[in-house]
Amino acid sequence: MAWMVRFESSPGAPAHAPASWPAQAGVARGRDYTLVMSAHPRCPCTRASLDELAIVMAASGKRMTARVLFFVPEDAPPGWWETDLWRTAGSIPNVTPVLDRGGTLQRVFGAETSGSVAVYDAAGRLQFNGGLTAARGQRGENPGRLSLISLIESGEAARMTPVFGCPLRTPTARDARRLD
Amino acid sequence: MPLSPSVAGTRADQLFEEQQRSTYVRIDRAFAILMVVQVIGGVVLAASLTPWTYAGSERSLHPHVIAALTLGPAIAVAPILMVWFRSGTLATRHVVGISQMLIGALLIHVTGGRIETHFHVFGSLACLAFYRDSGVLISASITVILDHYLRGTYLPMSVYGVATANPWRWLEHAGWVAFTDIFLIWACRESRHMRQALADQRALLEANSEAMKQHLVRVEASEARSAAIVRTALDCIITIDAQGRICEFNHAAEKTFGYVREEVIGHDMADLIIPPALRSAHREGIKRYLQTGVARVLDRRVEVMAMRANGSEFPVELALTSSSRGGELLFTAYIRDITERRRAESELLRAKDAAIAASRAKSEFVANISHEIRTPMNGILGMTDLVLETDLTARQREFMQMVKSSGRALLSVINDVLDFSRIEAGKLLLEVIEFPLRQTIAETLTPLALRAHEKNLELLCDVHRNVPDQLIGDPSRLRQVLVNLVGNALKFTEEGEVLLTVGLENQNQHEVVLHVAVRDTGIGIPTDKQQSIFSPFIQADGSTTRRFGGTGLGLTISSQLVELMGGRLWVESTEGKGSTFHFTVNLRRAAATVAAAPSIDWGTLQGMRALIVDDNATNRRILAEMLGNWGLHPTAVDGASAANAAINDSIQDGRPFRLILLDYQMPETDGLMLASKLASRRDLPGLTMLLLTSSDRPEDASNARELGIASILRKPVVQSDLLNAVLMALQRTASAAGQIPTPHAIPLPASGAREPMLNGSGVNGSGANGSGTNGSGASGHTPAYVEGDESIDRPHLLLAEDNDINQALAVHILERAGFRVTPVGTGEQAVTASKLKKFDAILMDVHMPKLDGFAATALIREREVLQGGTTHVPIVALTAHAMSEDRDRCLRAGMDSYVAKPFTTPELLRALAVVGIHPPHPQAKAIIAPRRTGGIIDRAELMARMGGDEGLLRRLIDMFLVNYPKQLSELHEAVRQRDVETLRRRSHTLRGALSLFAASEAADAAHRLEKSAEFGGRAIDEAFRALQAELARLEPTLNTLALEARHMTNLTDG
Repeated sequence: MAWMVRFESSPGAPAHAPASWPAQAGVARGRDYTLVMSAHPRCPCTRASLDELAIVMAASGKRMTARVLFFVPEDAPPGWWETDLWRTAGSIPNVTPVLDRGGTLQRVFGAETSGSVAVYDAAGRLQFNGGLTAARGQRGENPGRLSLISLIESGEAARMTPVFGCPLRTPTARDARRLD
Repeated sequence: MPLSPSVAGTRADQLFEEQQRSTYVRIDRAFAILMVVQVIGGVVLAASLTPWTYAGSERSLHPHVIAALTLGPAIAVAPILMVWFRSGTLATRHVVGISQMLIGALLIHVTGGRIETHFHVFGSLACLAFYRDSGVLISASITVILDHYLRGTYLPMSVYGVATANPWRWLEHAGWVAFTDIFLIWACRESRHMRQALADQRALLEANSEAMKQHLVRVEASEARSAAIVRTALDCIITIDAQGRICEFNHAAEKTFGYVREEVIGHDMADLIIPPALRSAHREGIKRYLQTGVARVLDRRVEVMAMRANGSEFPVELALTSSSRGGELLFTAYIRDITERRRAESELLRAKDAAIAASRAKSEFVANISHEIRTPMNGILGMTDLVLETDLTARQREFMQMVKSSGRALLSVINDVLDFSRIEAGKLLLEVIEFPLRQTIAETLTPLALRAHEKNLELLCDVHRNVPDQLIGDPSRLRQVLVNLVGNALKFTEEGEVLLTVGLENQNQHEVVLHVAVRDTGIGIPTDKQQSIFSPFIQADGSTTRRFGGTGLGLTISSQLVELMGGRLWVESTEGKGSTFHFTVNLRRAAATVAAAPSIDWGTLQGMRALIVDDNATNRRILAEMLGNWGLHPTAVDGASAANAAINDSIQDGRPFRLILLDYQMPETDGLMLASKLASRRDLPGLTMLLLTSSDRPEDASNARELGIASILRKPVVQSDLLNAVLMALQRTASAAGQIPTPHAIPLPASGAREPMLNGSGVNGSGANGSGTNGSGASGHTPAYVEGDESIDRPHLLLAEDNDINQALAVHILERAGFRVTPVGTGEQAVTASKLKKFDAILMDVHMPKLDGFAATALIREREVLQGGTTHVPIVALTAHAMSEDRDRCLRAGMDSYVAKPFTTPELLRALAVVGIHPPHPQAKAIIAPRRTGGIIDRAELMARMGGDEGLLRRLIDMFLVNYPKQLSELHEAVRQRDVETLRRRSHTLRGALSLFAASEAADAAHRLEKSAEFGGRAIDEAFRALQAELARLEPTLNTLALEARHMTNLTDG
């Protein structure tokens, strides 16, 4: 149980998104706030992050557009990414799922953990960088959600929160597991 | 049988516990399964929601799946094991509840504290509520609350899904749980109550069910028994409905009526088993019962005719009952074929008729054989008497006396047999008349005293003073018993005494029970024979019959007579010492005495000293008691020397004896010798001596008179005789001495002015005609009639007698009495002779060949009627039938009188006197002269009119006493109504009857009443009152006469 609790409550590697909208972003920036979430299409913890994203998006009205970058390994078979997360992300208003083959874009935004979120304002400045859940797969009120809603409402928010999710990078020291 | 409340309550608790335990087990098992399902579900859920955790393109098993695979089974294993091994226990339930909550906690955790998952908690509580155990809910709820408190405090995300939860949020959750618990606990309690109620109901139901089951078992058994009874009953049992259709037809009915059950069920019974003639009545009966409820044959047994299948009719006994079954009226008929019974009854009736005929034949036989025996007996006894009247040598006379004695004994045997036959046939009827007890006993003992004297025995009698004298009963039968018992005592006693005592056993206002005892000092009876002697024809010793004679019937007859008189007869005896026969009799008290009691001048006797000299102690005691009762002062001594001493003492005391009773037969100095010595003494003036003796020798009386003995009394002395003798003797002594009382001052009993001297032994010689009592007065040695005395107009008699000896005897008797006699031997000859010549009377034997006496009489009477009815020849029946009904038959047949064979001369002459034919010779007249004359009734005249027939006199008196009250009542009514014609007719009739009894004063009174009818007015009333007074005076006298007549009849018969 303790092991499970530690697993759930241990944040992933923090994101180091660029301070301004990168030129090599690969995705279009919105007119107001633009949120970029890096996600693993098969990370169960990200399901909670998407749920929180939906809340945030709902709270932002149309001031925020979001892009969810789904990591797709280079050798991923077709459709590998088409999971419930992909479909959920597509169903959230003003959210656009994006395939990120090889995680190139994610690396651009400095994301290491699924669920990492970077929010840029209309000027392209980084306003927030962190996760939207309090633990892995844990829905509910959390600092990330509160920060983003505060940002939209007041333009002020905490800049950094821990990210809870699966690592987006395969550990190099391990043998790569062949995908299904 | 319903269970008692306590038993039912126990059963309800048991049922409730069983139900609860069953529920616990089932829910335990359900939760065990649920645990498995939840573990699997958790794993599946975890595997489906979070199967893997990724690191780039690499993946690993998600910790949730691992947790589901490890924690889930870890939580579930304990309850599952508990259920497996301890299902139904409280611990299991709590472990299940707690584990269920922990499963919920796990699910909440693995779902990230989602609020939706919290519903698992409520669902689990709801499921746990299936246990209906509030405790389980509470333990489970505590588990939930603790989980929320701890995780909410330390891992809020685990339970609430947020990193920072309100520290009191656990309390909110706990509140909701408690809220839920409230309802669930309430529901549990309600459910338990309902379950308890159900258990109660079920227990009650079970109890009722058991009772019902038992009842059903009993009902089934009862029905089975009833069915078996109906099926196996020997009587036919047929049930029909209100329409008369057969509903039930048992096996016996099948056999009896010849139908098979199946073919009669539903059919009209009337058409099947009731004869056509009775069907309409049957249907009408059912119809009437249905309309009115009245049934003639219901609930009782009747005998009717029934019909078999083959149409034959037969008698049955039918018992019909009605009943209701399910509201339907049914009739059940119990039918028994009584063909055999009817046959048996008819056979029984035939047998009864045959038995009655046999009994009648037996009676006829007894009567006939009696006649056949009595007829030659008549010849034997009569001829013996005649021979004894002739000149005989002493030896010849002795032989003839033996013949006469044997004949009498044989006659006695016949009488016993006749009595026995009557008793056995139940035809012996007791008379109910008033009689004086002491006089009856005295008269009974008088002839027996002679026998006692002959054997030199003392015959004593002691009638206790508290025994009433005037009683109502049958004195002749009482006398018969006494004669038998005393006679037996005398027969079997060689020396000593025979004592008759009469005491009072019991009494009330109307009745007395007398206890009579006859004690002897004879041979006694062995103990083993004391019962058998009461059986017919048995004596204690077979040799006694030869030695003492007798039929052996006497005690049997006496015993049965006593039983008829409401008493019993028994014996106490010691062999060699003597016997005492006891008997009791039940007699009624007389309402009034026959005659007024003598008014004794008791003052004469009071304080007078009397000496009793008798060697017999018993007699001394009896005499002393008698004298003492009258106020005398008796002194009793046992012999002459003691008497002299007592007399001398009394003289010295200045109070000499005035009266001495002397026993004649005493050892050494007998009574006469002592009397002689006393008479010679000059110091005994005014001494009155009485002699008691058993002897009737005339020379004794003569000697006694010479010695100055005032009176001789024959033992046993009866109290009244002794009193009379004492009073008269004292009176004579006083008169001789110039003292009072005068003769007329001593009233004597009105019942007949008895002389104290009995049986002609009085010293004054005034009792000579007393010998007429035994009917032997005719056997004197002087012929009553001298042949050839033609100066007398002799009546001419026709004698019809087929037996030559009897004919010769009768002719001899009649001719000696002065009659002319024409003898014939048949009934036809009698009819012819009476036609050819006018006889003064006819003596007709009733049993003759061809034409018997009855038929001959009928022809004679018929001829008289044809001749105008102006003549009526008296016919006297000669009959050997001793039964009274035979005598009545003679009278009914037209005969005027009768005489029973064997007859004596006086009896034959009295029978003729009854019809007005008197012997011309004066001496012959004397033979039948009455014993006493004078008084209200002229007895001489009366006896002449009765022809000396005491039985006839008794019957006529009885008839008169029965009838005259009615006649008097009719007369009274005629007087009151002034019905002159009736008055004259009734008075005339009554006068005739009174004249018959020679009651001249009463007859005159009746005549005056008859005459007064002509004058009317007060004369009638006065004449009637006078007649009433005369009849009142006459009735006691008639009663006395009837008693005497009965006694005389018995003596004559026996």
